[in-house]
Amino acid sequence: MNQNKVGTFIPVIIKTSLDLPPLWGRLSRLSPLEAELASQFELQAGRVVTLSFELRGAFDDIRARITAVSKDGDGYFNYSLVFLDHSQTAVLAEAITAQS
Amino acid sequence: MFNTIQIICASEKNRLILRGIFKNLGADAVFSLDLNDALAIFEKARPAAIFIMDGEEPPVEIQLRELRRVAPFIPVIPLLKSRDAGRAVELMKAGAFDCAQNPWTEEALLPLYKKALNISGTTLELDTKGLRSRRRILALTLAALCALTGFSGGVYFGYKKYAARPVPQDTFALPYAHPTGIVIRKNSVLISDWHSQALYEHDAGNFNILRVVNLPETTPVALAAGQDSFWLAGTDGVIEKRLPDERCTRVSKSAPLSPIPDGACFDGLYFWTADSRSGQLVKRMPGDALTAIKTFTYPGRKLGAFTCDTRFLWAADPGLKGLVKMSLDEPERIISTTELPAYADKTLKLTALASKDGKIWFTGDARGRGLVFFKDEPK
Repeated sequence: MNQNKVGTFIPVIIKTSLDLPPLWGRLSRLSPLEAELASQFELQAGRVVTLSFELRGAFDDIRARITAVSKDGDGYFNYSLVFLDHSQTAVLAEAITAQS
Repeated sequence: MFNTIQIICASEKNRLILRGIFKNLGADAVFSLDLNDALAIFEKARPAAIFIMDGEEPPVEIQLRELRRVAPFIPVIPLLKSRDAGRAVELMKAGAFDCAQNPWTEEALLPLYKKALNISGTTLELDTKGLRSRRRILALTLAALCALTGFSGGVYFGYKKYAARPVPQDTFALPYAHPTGIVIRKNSVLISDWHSQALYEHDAGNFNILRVVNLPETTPVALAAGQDSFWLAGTDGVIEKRLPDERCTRVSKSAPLSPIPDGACFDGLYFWTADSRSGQLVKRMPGDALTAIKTFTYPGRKLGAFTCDTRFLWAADPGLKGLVKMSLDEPERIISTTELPAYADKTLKLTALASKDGKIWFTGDARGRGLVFFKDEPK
C-alpha cells in the first residue's frame, strides 16, 4: 500500500464462501479485467472470491480469481485478481470510465 | 522507529488484554478512557497511530471524525468486537485505515500495527519536477565526472604502461677523442686527454664541460683518485699528485717509474700502477715516491684499462671482451669476468676505468670519437 494513497484505496468486502464470514481489504488497483487487493487476511492463490465495493454505485459480488499472492514486509497480503464474469466487468468498465 | 500508539478503551478488561499484546509487539501504548481523554493528551503523546475500541461511547464514527479533525492523516484502527466485514468497510469509508477483528491476538494485530506505523504521516505531495530536474543534472554531471575520471585514469594508466619511458642516459660522447684517465667526483667527472693535454671537468648529470685545465708540460696517460687529491701519470713515467682546485695545483711528483704506467689507482691503502704493454701490475706505497712493493702479472689476456677500489682490482680486457675483477690480495687470480657488450664495436678502445659507488665508469674512443659510459658493478 502506498502510504500517501491508502486513504483513496477502495474498501472492499471479500467473500470466500457462503458459510464463512466475509473478510475485508482495499483495492489498490482496479481495471475492467484485473484488480489488485491488499488485505490483512491470507487467501490462497487460485481461489475464487467475490468482491463488494462502491465505485459510483455499489458493486456486489464481483467474481474474481486470485492469480498471485505476495506478502509485504508488514505482514499484509497483496493479491492479483482477474475478474471472471464478463457481464460484471462490462459494468465495471463503464464505472471506471465515468470515474476517470 | 517512532512506536507510540494511543488506545482509546474504557474497558479495564480489554485494556489489560491490549496492554499485554502491544507490549509484546514493542509498542509504547498510551491508554485513554475516552475521546476527551485522548484528545487531552494527544498533543503530548504524539502517537503514530490510534486504536479505538468499537462498541463504546461515543461511537467509533464520531471518534473517527473528531480525530481526523485534529490529525487528518493519522491512521485510526477500530478494534471490532466481531468479524464484521460490513462494519469494517463502513468504518474504512468513514476514514479508518483498517479494522482489527476479535479475538485480538499478537498475530492478528502485528500487520495492522506495523503498517500503521509505516504509513503514519501527512500525504503532502511536493512538486518535485525542479528537484528531479536538478537531480538529473547532478546525476549527469556525476556520471560525466566519473567518465572523465575513468578516462583520465585509463589514459594515465596507458601512458604509464605503454609510453616510452625516458631511459636514463648512461653513455655520453666527448668533445675530444683521446681520453686517458677518469676520476669520479661528487658532482662531476674529471677526464684527461693526452692529445689536447688537458683535464676536462664534466657535469656528472649531463656531461657538459664545467671547466678545462690545460697541462702544457704534461701529456696525461692516466688518472687516479685520492682522498682529497688525485694523481696524474704522464708519458714520461712521472706521477704527479695534484689538488682538485681551480688550477689543479701540483702537490708532489714521483721520479719516473718503470715500467712507464698507463693505468693507476689508489685502493685506500696502496697505490697501483699498470702497464698495458707488458701486462704488469705494480703495488706501491702511496707516498710521494710511490715505492714499488710487488709486481704482479695481469692474469687476463690483454690489459686495456685498469682501476681499483677498496675491495677489488678491475680491468677492461679487449681480449676477453669483458670486465675482469681481481682480488686485491691475489691480483693474479681472476675472480670473475663480465662480458662488455660495448666491445661489440670493434673500433672501441677503452683506455681508462673508475669505480665509484657501485658503478664502473669506462672511457675511451670509438670511431674516432671519445666516449664515456658507466655500468653497474658486476655481482
